[in-house]
Amino acid sequence: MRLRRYFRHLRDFQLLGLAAVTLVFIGMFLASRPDPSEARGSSWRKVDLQRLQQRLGAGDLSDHEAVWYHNRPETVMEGRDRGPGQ
Amino acid sequence: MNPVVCELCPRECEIPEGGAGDCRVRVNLGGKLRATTYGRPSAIHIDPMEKKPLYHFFPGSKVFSVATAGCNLHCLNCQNWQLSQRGGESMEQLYRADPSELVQLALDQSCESIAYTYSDPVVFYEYVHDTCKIAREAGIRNVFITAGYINTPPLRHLCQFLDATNTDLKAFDDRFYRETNGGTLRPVLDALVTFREEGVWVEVTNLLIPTLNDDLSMIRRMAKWIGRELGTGTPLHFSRFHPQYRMRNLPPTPGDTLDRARREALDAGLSHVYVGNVPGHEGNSTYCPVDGQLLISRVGYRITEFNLGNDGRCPHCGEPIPGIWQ
Ligand SMILES: [Zn+2]
Repeated sequence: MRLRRYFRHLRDFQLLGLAAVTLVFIGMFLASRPDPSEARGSSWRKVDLQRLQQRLGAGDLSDHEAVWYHNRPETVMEGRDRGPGQ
Repeated sequence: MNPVVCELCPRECEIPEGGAGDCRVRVNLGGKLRATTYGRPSAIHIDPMEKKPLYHFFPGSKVFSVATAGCNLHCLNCQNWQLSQRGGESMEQLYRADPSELVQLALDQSCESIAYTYSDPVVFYEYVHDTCKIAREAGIRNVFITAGYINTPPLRHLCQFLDATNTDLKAFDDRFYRETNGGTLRPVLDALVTFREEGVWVEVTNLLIPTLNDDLSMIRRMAKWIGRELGTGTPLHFSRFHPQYRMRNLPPTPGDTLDRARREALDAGLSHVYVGNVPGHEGNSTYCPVDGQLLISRVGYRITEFNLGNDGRCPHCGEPIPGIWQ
């Protein structure tokens, strides 16, 4: 009887070990993914803001306001629901 | 955070403050979207019209060509990646030329047209728009060399100032667009139809990449679509691929692939199908679709013989050849 319980415990530990290893692998996979702002086809990119401000200040670049855009309240930014062409 | 949504191209980037759009050059500063390359071109050249390529639009004329940094597509085989895949802040070369100065430069160089080209002019839309307006008033024509990845309302608005476009149709396949260019096909087809509806002279370029978009049945479908939606007189340019940027694993397009594609598109009903990037190829030249007479002979970008009548007709049979000739 005690021997059977001992083996059941052993199986539980094996299962826990397997789960832990799987979690480590999932964690490694997520960590290895590129920053979403730099992914190809993503919706925006990080920019070297300090360099940009320097070059704007020097007049190398322009702060001309664009057309064809609108402001979006931050709360609505969660969950992108607009598809291409809309 | 003052996020903004750019409505210019089908990406419709949601850009937080201090971030740039996918194009790298439209930046949200203080809750306002800035066109950071407005009046700051990174490339200015004088080219022959044939280099755009535009074969049925003022042949042999000089075109003042301008580009800024940035692009809203990310083609693995981009030939201008040092210009297109960078933001303005990382460019060494930044000239200063407001729209009126640009038009004056074109006039000084005796250019009758300005081409917005090299990278994609969609991403410097405001600069194009304002320059086009002044150029038009000065009697200079505007030529838009693009991949056509733009939303319809801004394009339709711009079309009132445009005279001609060569639009890259990279493949007649949405999957190809997603995998090779980081875009989608539908908006490009919509852009081509918008150009046609708005009376802009349209020529189409298709770069043939071995094994990726050289399938003849796809080429036939593309040619049929062009004939149906844009007209069978629409010039189609097949261009030869050269391995570069992130696509060095494929060979240059074989000559017979270009020949077969040209034959397929002619058989599908298009009247003027060209082969580019292969100097001396018979597909560099313009022939009468009725009697096959040589109308304009070209070697590369150079016109070596011009037999087209002043009225834009074949001098032998009188067939009108679609285009804007003078
Ligand atoms: Zn003829």
